[in-house]
Amino acid sequence: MLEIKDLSKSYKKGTIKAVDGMTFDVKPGEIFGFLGPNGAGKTTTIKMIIGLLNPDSGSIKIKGFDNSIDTIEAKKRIGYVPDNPDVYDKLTGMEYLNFMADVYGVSLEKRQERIEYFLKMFSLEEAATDIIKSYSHGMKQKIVLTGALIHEPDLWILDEPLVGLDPKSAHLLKDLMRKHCEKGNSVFFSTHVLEVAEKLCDRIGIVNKGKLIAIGTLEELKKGDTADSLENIFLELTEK
Amino acid sequence: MKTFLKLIKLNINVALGISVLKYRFTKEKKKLWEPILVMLGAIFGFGCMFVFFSIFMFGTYITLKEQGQPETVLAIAFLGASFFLLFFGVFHILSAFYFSNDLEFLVPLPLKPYQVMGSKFINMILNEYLIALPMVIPAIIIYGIGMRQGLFYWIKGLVTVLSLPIIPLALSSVLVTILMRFINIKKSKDIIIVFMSFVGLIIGLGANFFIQKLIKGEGSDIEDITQIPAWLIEEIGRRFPPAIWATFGVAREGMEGAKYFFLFIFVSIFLFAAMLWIGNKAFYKGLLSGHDNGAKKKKIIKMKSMKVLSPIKALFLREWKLLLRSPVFMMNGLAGIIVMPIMVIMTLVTQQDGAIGKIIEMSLDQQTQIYILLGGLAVMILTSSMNIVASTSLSREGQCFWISKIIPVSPRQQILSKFYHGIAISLAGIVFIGLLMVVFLNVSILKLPVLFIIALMSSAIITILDLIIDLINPKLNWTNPHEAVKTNLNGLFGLIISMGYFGFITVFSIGMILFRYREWFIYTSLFFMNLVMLLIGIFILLKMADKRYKNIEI
Repeated sequence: MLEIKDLSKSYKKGTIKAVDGMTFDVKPGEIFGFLGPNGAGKTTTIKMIIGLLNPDSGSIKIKGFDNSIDTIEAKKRIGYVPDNPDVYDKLTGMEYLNFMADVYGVSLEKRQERIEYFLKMFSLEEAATDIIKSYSHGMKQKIVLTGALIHEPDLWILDEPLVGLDPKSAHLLKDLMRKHCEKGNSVFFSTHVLEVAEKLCDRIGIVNKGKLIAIGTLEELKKGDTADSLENIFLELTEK
Repeated sequence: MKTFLKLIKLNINVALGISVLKYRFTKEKKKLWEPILVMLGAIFGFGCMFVFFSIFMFGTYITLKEQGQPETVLAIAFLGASFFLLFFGVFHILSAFYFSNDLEFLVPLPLKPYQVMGSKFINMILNEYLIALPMVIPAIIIYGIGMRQGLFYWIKGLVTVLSLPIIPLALSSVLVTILMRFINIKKSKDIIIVFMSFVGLIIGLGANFFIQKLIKGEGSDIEDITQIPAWLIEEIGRRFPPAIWATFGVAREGMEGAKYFFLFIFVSIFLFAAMLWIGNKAFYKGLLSGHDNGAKKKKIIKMKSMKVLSPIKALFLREWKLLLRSPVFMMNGLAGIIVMPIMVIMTLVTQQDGAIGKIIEMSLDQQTQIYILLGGLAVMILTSSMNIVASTSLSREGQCFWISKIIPVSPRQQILSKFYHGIAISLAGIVFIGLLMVVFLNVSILKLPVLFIIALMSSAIITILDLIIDLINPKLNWTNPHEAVKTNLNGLFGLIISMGYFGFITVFSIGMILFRYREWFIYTSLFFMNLVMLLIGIFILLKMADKRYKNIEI
């Protein structure tokens, strides 16, 4: 579903390597957790996958489409939720969702069905006709999430998706992620909440100082380490 | 007091961008040209204002001296500056006291309301010097040198000039603070901005109308404005006494001068203190009155009324919604389109018997009609291009630009939607001026479509140039919409480039008239020249969109 090869990105004329020769893939039907301390290169990697940043070298393929060549095709297959839900605050929630549906070419029937489903699930029915400026952080997060999933993308890319969500919505989102992957799709998400990664992810990648320092299932990560929990593995690996 | 001083220092630092400048000078030298250009622009603008007021004040002084009232020149300067400060002060205070983003972190700090308000007030006084000093300093210098004043005059003059903004700004602050105590800011913020902007527009146009009426008569030069009868000082004194206290305080000698001077200073200090006292009582109450207690009506979502739009239509609609729903964007984007036709109408209505009368006569004469038609074409192009809609088009997206980067719509389609949006706004200006030409200048309806097409092509070229400017270096990092349009250099560059194109087309047309080419040939030449520029422009724009949408990182 997602193939990343030798991905690198540096800032300030190469003096700061934000991402350094990263290679990994995310398989169909898989929830992949991307962990790392602050400034490890998680968001930079995500931004390169969705095209907000240009890599210095390396390649990114989404369902076989190279995101620097078949850009539009690659974008069609992604649903992205940023860590900070900056959206057009002068549009109403409904207008934003319709805008996203229009640009992703979602049919009338599909969008009616999906908007209704998500608004109900996130309890946003009443707020949907208000302008986004009046929303709380969590509500913005939910409307961005709905906008990102409205076209039923194959690959969800979520940057810290649980930040700002209330427990009920967080639980619903985790359920959605699982159901999405059961259909053969994939979820790639970054998080600081290790318990979530431990319970939810099929595979985990740990990144530190721009490098992928460990990758595998929780069991695989435990094999090469004496630590018994993901938290301990994470601390041991990132503090080396 | 220490905290208060620190707060003032912080506010000045933020307002003047001192830390940003330091960072640019030491670390981010690549972008050093930006502040340097802004500074040069500010010095140039300030210098132009200074020269303009100096010439005006000198003429006024000479005339008034002949009438035996030289000190009235000071009264005019003080009153003029005070009026501007009072008028603009209301806007500036509203945005600094109630709409600025730093309040979110200032309010929870253990600071007294008067400290927050006072520090912002002092910072504003420094800003207002930009308006006040070019108006007042020339008068002080001209009067001082002309009347051979001594050291005391200059000291009193300096103190008066520096404290001049206090009274008008304190009055504006008190007015705004009391008003905002009873208005729900959060709910009415946009309405207040639009309302205030329109009031400003009407006052500005009213002043223009008044001046046009004033100079309508014969010998429309400085003498008319300065043939001010002796009652002027009394009139000014009755309407705004501080201007007279300042005048007498500076100009008169001995005890009489000292009496007015200290009266002016005392009232300034008193009003400043009163403002702080009222601020301490009412500032936070007004600021925090944004809670919404009213029961919300449950709105029903109309799923069935949804419409499916093509991506380009959806983007075009997004441009409109975001422009019209942000008062700052709307006023800055559309003011030119609204003001220019109104000014043209005012000129036509107030001066029908003067120069405009001649223009109407010329438009009736087949020999001279071409001048009027080309002049009309020029006004059409000017009206349609006097906006910053296209030149801040990407910048206005700000931090939301990530959405444009991730959606599966090609950069070409995205930039075309912005192009259509810019053209739609220009079209409104062109149609309006065209209608005025039909009504007032008896322009043939048959010739009008020709002018329309050429004007539309011209505004399309200008829109393309504006979009290219914003594509090269969009200002996406802003927290306040003002920054996206008012302090965005792309708007200024856009206007300069528009003027460049306008100058080129004017010289081209005048050249053709001088060489006595036939009317149809001039139009055809303009059409084909525009067509070539338009095709090249679109080609460059689309190529650049592909490249820049990919390379702009966020």
